[in-house]
Amino acid sequence: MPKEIFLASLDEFLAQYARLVGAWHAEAMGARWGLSEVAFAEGLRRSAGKRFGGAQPAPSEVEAYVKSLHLEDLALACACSEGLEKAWEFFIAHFRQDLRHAASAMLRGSGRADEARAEELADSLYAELYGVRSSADGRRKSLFEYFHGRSKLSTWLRAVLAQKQVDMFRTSGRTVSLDDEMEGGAPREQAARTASVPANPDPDRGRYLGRFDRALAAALAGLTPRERLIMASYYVDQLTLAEIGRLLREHESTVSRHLERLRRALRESVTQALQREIPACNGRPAEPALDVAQTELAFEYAIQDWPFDLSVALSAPEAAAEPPEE
Amino acid sequence: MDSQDRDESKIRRREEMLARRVGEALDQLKTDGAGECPDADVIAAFAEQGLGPGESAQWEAHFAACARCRKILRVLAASADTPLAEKEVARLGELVSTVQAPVEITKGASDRGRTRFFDWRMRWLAPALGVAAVLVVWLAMKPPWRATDRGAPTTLIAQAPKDELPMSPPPSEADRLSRVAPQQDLKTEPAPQPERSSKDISPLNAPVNPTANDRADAAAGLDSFSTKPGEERNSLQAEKKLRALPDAREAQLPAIPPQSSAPPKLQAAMEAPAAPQSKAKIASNVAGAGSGQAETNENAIGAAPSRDKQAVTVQGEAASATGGTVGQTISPEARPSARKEQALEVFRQVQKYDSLLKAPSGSALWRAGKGGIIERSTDAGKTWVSQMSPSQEDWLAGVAVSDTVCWLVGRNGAIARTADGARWERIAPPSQTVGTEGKLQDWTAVTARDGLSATITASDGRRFTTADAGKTWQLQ
Repeated sequence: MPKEIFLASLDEFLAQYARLVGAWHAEAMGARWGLSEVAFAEGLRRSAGKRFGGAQPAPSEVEAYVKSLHLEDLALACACSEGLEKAWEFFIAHFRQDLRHAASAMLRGSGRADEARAEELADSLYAELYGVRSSADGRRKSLFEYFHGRSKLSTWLRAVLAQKQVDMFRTSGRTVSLDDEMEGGAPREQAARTASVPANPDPDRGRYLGRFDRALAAALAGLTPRERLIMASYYVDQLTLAEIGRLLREHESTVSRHLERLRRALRESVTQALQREIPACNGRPAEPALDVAQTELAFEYAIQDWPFDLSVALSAPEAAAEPPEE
Repeated sequence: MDSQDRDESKIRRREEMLARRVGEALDQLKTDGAGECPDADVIAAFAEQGLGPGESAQWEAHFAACARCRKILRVLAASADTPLAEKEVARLGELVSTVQAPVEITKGASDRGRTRFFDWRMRWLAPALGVAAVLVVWLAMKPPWRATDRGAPTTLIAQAPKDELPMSPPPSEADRLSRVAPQQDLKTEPAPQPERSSKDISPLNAPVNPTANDRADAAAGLDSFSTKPGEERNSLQAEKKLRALPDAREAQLPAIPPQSSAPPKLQAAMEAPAAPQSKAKIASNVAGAGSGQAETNENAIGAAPSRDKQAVTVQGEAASATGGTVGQTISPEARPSARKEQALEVFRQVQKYDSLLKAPSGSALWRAGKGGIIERSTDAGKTWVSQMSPSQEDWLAGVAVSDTVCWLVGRNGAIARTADGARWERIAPPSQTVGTEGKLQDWTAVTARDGLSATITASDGRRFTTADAGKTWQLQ
């Protein structure tokens, strides 16, 4: 049984990893910035504490986690957080241009390309990166403290910028959605949900739709989180295959195949469920299998009306992460 | 057969509708159940695929139900280094669409109503047209002796009729040019035709721009080269030089069709003032400073002081002669300045790649250059895929050790390495090279044995070696 460690305290972290911290510090070349091992250890502890939360990971898990980090970037962030001059010089020399470039790309994406605005957006981070003194303990809190080395520093900076940019849109009270703003397009079309129930409804309509609802819920429960993300990105966010591919680091042809397979799987799964007899269960009578014509009708009714609430099937991420095996 | 098609189409439509409805249902979900949004650290790690499988699945489930996070991811992805090919294709796609607009490539919200099923099936047309446009523009600008190799069906470069040969450069100059232009082409040149294929092009349109040659090589994926020490160019100066380049290039085209043979539309263009010789010199410097080829070019230009007029004619004539396809890209009516801009853009693209690196196997290639751009080909240069670059500094040199291991070095201390062919990691430069003001050395050359051992050369001539993948460096 490996000894459990406590990530809540720097002293305990140092006691546990005193020998390794030196090696990690050397690997991260923290000495370049004049960063002390203790300050670097605090950065590592903070990172591990964030990753493992309240859990008590085994030392080997923590070591594996630290090995997976971008240690050099973490050391630079720690050094900047400490206000070390050399680190800041290096940061400015290396990342300022990246930040402006990212800000410019974001604004260009929103159709508001403007060098001055890009510069403003990028530079708006600097105050937070340097940090402001907390009124409570007088300690300066730098945004760098939220960088845990799990990605490259440049990607994290872009993510912070992206968050700022998106939240700025969301809180600006615009009536135009971010999608429309970013694409410069017309207000997004909302699918009209006017159920068109025919004058003489099929008496079996309700039964078909009920069967369809259950079949669809079962099919959706089988989707992996990635498949849901692809569907949401394609059908909700209207991303192109290339954009989804870039998001998921997959080639757009792979995404295209994914989508095609997803569509087919959904249809086949629902079709098979409709054409399968449901045995009596919990007092509910058995339901006979639908034949081909009835299945066709069920699809027609479902697609026309779509009276389903899929929130139950779709809003349980943990259920989706581990799809139930049939 | 028809009924089969109908059934197939019906099934496809049903699949599409079902998927669309499910997608819409996803959008209407409350995000409460999706948990708290991750912080930037997790989002960045997700974007870099740095999360473990379990954690990835957990956050993917969140992202599927959280529009805010998806937007952040989208903005993050959009702010990454935009692949050059995409830019190039988009730009040239626009160029084509302004003339013919065969395909709608806009992705606005207004498209929402139309069936996406057909969108993605037809979307290949946009890059295909873009690539076609790139080829057309490139063929228009490239020297004819390359065109002979390619056997391209159309080209923008016009040919001087046989009876105009006496107007060609003097024998001594022709001798010089023959080093790159086979003499037999002169002999076998057919009579002037309304439309000329690239095979018919006069060798007197000899290549005068090594950069164009490099581009041809890069496109073929045959050679590899890297910027040598001393060849580094200041980007601002290069930009200025590039501004002068189209004029210079026009001035360099030595084919001399008689002015009377030019289409009437081009008479105005023929009246354009002669490009100063200094511009030509600048162009040759940009194309390859210090090389013997550049000197040859300068000499060639010097020998033909007034060819700029004729060159304009050549271009214009080519545009009109090829008509159709070519006219979509560079119309005969286009003002010289517009054509100049198009040519300038092509040269800008050329300038973006300073290094073309070929792995020993020959199938894996990288090209890297301006703004930190990196692209990789695994099919000997037929297709290129943009890669996430760890730096936005210009890459000046590199070496591909294997199909998966490659090193790059560039301006302002930029060093990067990939060990798996896909992910690039930034490598910290030797601490001795960090200046007091944060300014770092430019690295002008690199050699490497494997993913761990490499030697890099600074612009001041100092060389550093590493045997641990750049973690430590020793001054040689």
